[in-house]
Amino acid sequence: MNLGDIIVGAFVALLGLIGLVLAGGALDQEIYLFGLSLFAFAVAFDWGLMLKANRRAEAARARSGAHG
Amino acid sequence: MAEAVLAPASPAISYNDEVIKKFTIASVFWGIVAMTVGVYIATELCWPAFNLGLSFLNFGRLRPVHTSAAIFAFGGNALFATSFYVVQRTCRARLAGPEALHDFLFWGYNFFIVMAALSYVMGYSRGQEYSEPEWHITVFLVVVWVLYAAVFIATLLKRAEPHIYVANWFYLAFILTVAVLVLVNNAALPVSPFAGKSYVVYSGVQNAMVQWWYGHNAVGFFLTAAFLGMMYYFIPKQAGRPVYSYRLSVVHFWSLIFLYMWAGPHHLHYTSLPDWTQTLGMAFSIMLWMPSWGGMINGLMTLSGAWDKLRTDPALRFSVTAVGFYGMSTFEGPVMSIREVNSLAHYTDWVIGHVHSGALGWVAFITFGAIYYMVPALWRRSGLYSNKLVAWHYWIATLGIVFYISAMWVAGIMQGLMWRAYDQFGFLQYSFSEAVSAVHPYYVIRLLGGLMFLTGMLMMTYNLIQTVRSPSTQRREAALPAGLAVAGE
Amino acid sequence: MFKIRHETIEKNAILLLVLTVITVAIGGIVEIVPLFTIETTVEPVKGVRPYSPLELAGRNIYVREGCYLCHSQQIRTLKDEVERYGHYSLAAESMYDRPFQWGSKRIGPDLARVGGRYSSDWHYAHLRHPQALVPESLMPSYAFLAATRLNYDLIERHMSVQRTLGVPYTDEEIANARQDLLAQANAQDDQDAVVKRYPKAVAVPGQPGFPTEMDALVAYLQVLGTMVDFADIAVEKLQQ
Repeated sequence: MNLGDIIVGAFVALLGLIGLVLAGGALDQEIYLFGLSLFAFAVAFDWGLMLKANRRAEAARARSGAHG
Repeated sequence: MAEAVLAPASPAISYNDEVIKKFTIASVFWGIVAMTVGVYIATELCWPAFNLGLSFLNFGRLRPVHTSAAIFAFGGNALFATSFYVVQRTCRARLAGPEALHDFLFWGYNFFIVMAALSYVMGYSRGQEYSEPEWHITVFLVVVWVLYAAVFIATLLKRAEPHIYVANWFYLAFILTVAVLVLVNNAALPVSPFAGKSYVVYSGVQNAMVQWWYGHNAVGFFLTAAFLGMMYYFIPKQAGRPVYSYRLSVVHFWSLIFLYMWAGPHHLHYTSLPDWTQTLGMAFSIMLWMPSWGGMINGLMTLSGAWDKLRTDPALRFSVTAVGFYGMSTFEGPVMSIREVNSLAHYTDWVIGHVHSGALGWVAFITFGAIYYMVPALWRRSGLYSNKLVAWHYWIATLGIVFYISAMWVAGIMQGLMWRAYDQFGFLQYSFSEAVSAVHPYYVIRLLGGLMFLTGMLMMTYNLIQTVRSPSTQRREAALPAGLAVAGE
Repeated sequence: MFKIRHETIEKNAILLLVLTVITVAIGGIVEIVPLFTIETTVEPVKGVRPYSPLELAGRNIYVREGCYLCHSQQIRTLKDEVERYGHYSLAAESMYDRPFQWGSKRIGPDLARVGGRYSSDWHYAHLRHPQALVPESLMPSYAFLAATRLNYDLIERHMSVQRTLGVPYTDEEIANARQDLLAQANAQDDQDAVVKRYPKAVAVPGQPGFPTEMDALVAYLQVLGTMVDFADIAVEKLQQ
């Protein structure tokens, strides 16, 4: 994981947390849906970031001849 | 993947093309959605039974889905894609910032789009055209947009080319101005941080002025200036010629971005907006004709000495025709801004005709030209899968536009005349509902036009999918046929 | 006057940015700011008042359903229009409207003065099935509004947020919001308090204790264009 991944990932995680808070206090269907969706988005996005970082690391390992 | 891509003749610059591919795919996807919803609401206007009595499918809730999908989803993703394509190559610099940030721009912008569309069908809307998303969704958009501006500007700042190419002036103006427009028009107080309802800060006539300052410049900057940026890169590339006139681009850029911002009041002629504001809006709208045609001339004359390419490059036909429609719409607009003309046109389908000649003829066509150029380049293919299919797309789409706008011209002028007609006794001749019945056949023709345009869109989608996947477009490392789009430029 | 060569601007991203922002700001400032500072932009007219709680709820439904996409609410200063719809719209009549709903398209007729033109029963029937009353109509059915209970939990907040933004709701009006809403939604109820606070408010024949979204919308429609007594207005008073 590089610094860029970490900063962006943390920022998106914060957005996800805000989404959860919004959904928790929602007074109408719209904020409820938006909050939960924001949380789901953050989870999916950060998971994608980690997956990409992992693939990069594995490719680098493969190139340098290490055995998996 | 984030592997380094070596451009053949220049030092290794690794552009971020992955994010551009994503935006391009998204643009095509949303184009289909936008046009399908458009066809559906057109059907509802022909036969209201198609509303099915369902709240989430009725015209009032679906119409903003169509306009948002067309402008922000189809258009917006195309602008992200092309602005990133153009800024990297004309600056000879990789997109600034970490790749994770670029991915956030893609996924975040499209998340905004999905949330906006869902909110409309669920019955949440600010009730202001092209500005419907409620406060919480707009806050999210602002976050994405600020980061978009940061990435674009930072890329300009790290450029290896001393001069900023003209396309980037237009993209930059678009990004900055949209930020200002959205922030000002959306100034509002939510009823609660936990409720999806807010009240806009302005009311009545001031709200009307701010809204149409916003609305007209959504057209002027999102749909015009930004796509002129697209034109300024892709037409010279496709034609293999430099832009016709540097001086013209300077003059028309500054006058366009200055004059457009005054045009808003032409949406409010004869209303309770003060006369002085209406007159200013009209005067500047008429003046706006000049820088608009400056752009058209610059685009068309770039083809000087290369007109024969139109015979062999069907994608170029889209771009050039787009500029023609641009000229047409930017003449029609000023004409419709004249108060007396507007007294007939306002509230009628003529406005819809005008919108679609611009949206389909200019915005969509210039986008098609750019996408047909970019896809083989981005996916490293030898060329498009089928030039014949591009030609078919071109003709069916153009015919669709002609049907659409002619139908709307007739319907609009007919409505305007019927509403103001007096009989020989001095009474109003037609009831409102008589005018509604009278335009029905033209609504059916409009539906046909839209269906044709959608069909063309589907042809393009198939062609692009095959371009990416078919073995027939696999690039051979030996000599490539001349004049084809090549990666790494 | 110091001359900037364009080359200088093209080689300096920040300069390009700053000059662009200045250039695009001018038009908006010139056209928008004076509308707040010139007093005659909105000439106050007797009779114009904030919406009652039920009318406000109804208006919010009108806004969210996109009614403004087919119906305008702004009668222009054109002879045929004044004859068809009534006196041209005054700026004061929408001074409390957030958002304004002047509209930009007439797939259906203008509604600026629809208040009192049709009975409430007509509106209920028309909203349920427009084509039953107007065969040529392109309007969708809004029957679902009659089946949806009106959610007025936040009505006081709606009114106080608007007060913050300049709508002159009084403490008394906000304190009585719920009672006024329920009273106006049930025509058989005593309307004295409602009409005292909101002159010309129209009570709608809703089910007692079960106000629906359709009740609110009809109450809103029935007040449109009725606040100003045009017999009272002399043309000279309206000129700037």
